[in-house]
Amino acid sequence: MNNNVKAVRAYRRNLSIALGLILLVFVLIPVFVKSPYVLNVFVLIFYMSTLSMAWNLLGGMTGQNSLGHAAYMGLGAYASCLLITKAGANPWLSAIFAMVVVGLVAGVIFYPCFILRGPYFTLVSIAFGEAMRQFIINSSFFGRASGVGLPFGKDSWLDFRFASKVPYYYVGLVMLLGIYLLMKKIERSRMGYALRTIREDEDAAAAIGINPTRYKVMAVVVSAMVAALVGFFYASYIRYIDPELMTQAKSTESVLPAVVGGAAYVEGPLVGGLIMIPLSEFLRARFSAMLPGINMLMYAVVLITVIRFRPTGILGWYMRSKVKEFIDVKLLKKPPVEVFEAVELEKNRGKGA
Amino acid sequence: METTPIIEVQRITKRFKGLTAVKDVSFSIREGGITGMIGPNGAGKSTTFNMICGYYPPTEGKIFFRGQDITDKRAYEYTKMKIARTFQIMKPLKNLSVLENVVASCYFGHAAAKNEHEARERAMDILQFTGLYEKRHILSKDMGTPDQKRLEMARALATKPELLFLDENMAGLNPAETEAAIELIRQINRSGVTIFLIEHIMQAVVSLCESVIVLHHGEKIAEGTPEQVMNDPVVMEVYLGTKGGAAHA
Repeated sequence: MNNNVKAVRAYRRNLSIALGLILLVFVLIPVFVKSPYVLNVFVLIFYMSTLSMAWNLLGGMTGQNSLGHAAYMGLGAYASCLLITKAGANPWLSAIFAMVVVGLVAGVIFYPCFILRGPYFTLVSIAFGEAMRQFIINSSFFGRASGVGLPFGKDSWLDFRFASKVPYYYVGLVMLLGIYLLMKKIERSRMGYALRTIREDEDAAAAIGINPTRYKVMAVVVSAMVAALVGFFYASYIRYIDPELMTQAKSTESVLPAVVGGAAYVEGPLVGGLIMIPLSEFLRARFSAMLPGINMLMYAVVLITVIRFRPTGILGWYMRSKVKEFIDVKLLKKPPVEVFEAVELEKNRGKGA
Repeated sequence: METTPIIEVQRITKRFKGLTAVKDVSFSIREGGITGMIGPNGAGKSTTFNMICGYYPPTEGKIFFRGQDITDKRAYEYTKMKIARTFQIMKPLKNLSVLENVVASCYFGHAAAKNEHEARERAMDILQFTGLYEKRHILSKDMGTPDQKRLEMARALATKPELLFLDENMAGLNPAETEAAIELIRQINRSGVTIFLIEHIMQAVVSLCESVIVLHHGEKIAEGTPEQVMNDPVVMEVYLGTKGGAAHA
């Protein structure tokens, strides 16, 4: 038994070292990479992956496919920008305000859809995004089609305003990690099990005491709040927003990292984002000058190939692959699952005594 | 001797548009016992079952749980009342492992686990009890019918019910598997859980149930001990037919 405990500890240590090294690489990138373009790609990866994680809480974990996440992001961006420009609020406070407002709006709008089953939520989410965009284009309070700009000025943490991309890089990285940990926490909690049960079968969920409507509303509220946070980050980074932020194409972009990475996994959007966003940027930079639009065509081919041959996403393939086996067993010295259970059992006995 | 039955069904009727699936059925379930319901295909067993479980309300009539009117309770409110059910067509959480299936149930009900640690621990006990422990890491969609039927029971038991509804839990099992399932149901009953089951397999009903209700064409045609019911002329007619071939109306 003692050997089991040792094996588990050794594995946990190896895993922490590996994850720590990966994190260290990301922390050190701005120290060595000075190109604003490359840093911009990383910031893009961070906030798009975070947005995709928000989508994945609904699409991957709950099985409710949203095609309106750009609207939550856009509303979050507008809510925070307007509070900053019209009321002179502090940006960090405006972020909280934006999250609360967008969460409430999403909860109220989608509650009726969740009483029904089936594709209604998806349909309403498309309509919701387009309706919000049209509303903003036609409202002078929201600046109509010309959008809202945030004031420029000297660098300040209080105003979350920098000329350099490096602070945005680190804030984006912290946001990504924070939301990842939140999603991981949700996955293992009562809510996470409820959402996955609902995804698999709503009747089965009701039979074990889950109120499907209640949990679906909880999921959409949390998801919209995270998207609003991303909207705030985007607005502070770009310092200008307009209704184009909320187009259908942007909503689709929030789905892709999760689907390509593996929607069944909390890590899916991270993996998908790390691969698809640099790829998209690379294709644009390398090929769009040769023949306009060719980059989009190539991107589409890659996407179709992944979905055709790896329908469960890159992680869905990786989880059953030899590569994972090699990394787990040879590099990290992961003991078999029985050993983990034995250790858990031992710990419980210790507590009981 | 006369105590309040755990479930009392008073004259329930269910109409789907023009079709009357269940007509004026009344019966009660004794606390601590095993009550069965049989009937030919299309007799209204599943409809009756679904009404008692809150999946759809009866058109007429009332259902009482320990004297309390639960006719309009929703399906998900039953778990807190310590009532659990299984499904005739199994509804495993396909893409989750057997263990995760049961852990999910442990998080809900009147004695819901407070954290993942507790939920996993309880799930392990239930998997041991239902004989699924060795298969705990298999995805539930990869298991065969007998194990999926067991998983249905394991998930129901994980909510710590005092009353368990089993919907054709032995359909599709071979005789040996049926025998094992009967033994499991007996064990569950001995641990203090009242059981109400719908079943096609006579062997199971006769050996398990202390009381049997027979439905035919949406109406209750007999009720009593398995022996009484088996020897009832109307039931014999329904199951075996009469010489003249005239069906019971």
